[in-house]
Amino acid sequence: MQTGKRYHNTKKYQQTKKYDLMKKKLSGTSGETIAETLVTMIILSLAVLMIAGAVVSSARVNKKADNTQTAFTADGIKENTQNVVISEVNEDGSPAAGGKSTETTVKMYETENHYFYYESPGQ
Amino acid sequence: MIEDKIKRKLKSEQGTSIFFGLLLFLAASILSVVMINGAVTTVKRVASDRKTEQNYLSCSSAAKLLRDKFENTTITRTTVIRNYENKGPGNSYTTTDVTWTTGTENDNSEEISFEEILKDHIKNLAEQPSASTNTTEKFKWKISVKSAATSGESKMQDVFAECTISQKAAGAGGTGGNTDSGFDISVLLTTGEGNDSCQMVLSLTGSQNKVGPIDGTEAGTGTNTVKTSTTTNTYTWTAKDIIYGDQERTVEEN
Repeated sequence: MQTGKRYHNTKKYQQTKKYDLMKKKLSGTSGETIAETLVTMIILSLAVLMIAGAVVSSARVNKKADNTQTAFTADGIKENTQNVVISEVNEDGSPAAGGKSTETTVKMYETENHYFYYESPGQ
Repeated sequence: MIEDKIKRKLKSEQGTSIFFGLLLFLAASILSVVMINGAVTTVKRVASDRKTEQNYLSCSSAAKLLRDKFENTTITRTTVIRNYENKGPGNSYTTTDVTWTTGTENDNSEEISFEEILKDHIKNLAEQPSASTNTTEKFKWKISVKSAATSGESKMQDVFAECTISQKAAGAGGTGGNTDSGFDISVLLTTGEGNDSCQMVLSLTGSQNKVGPIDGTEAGTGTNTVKTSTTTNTYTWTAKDIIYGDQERTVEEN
């Protein structure tokens, strides 16, 4: 084994020393002082609190999402009259210069879960 | 004595390692992030489902409205050929007048009807020079609900309709022994963006009824007599289908 002050300053010695300390720490029965143990317990409590909060929040959000009805249903439909505009536009969707437009009256329907659709008055 | 005991206890190194505490904290935070991420994803998926459903309703409503509009539209082209025969000295000459009308005439109001807009496009295509090889007319419409009460992100979005009018091949689909066979119309309707978008295709078959030429006379001026020949072409449409998607697809038979 190499010894001496010159060897103690080398990088290899420093790394070996750190590795030995870590190995001793992990496999040994010695730990930390009681103060550091108390700090560890506080950290663990925060971790448990974080998990508990995440569980509760995600459960609440998932329950709300499950209760949201996304399917179209024909119950409780409200009817009113609206105007629909058909206008000429360019390829990019902007209003066409000199483009014509026309309005037509339609029957607008709103379902209970707030979907909208319309039909021509003749239908 | 007691003080020594307390000091020994405080300085004692027997027990657990802070390393594992921090490791557990890291694991707990990762787990929390994963759970919350899952919940947020669920919420976004539900919102996307609603948007997709509404876009489908907007698109299908616009498709049905256009279908009804096209089916209730009648466009008439009246061609009058006048032959001015000069009984006295002078040459005879012929004039041709073409008039385009719709089934529902504008009652002098400032509003333009759907039929008037369509008539202009049909007229543009029909009056192409004979040497022209262009047999289609393309244009784009935006169909939007006017009222502010139904505008907004969760309400009806604007629907864009890309219309293509195609002149039918001569001799196909016409009646009355004519060669002007009418115009087919295909409309691609789109609304929404990305994964929430909806597309539909509305196909309409055009037909054309020709009456004439009917010969007649008109009162002339001076020594002219006017013989007329009137031909009337009436264009109408019937809807084939409203197809979900961006183009018509057929099932190939093996």
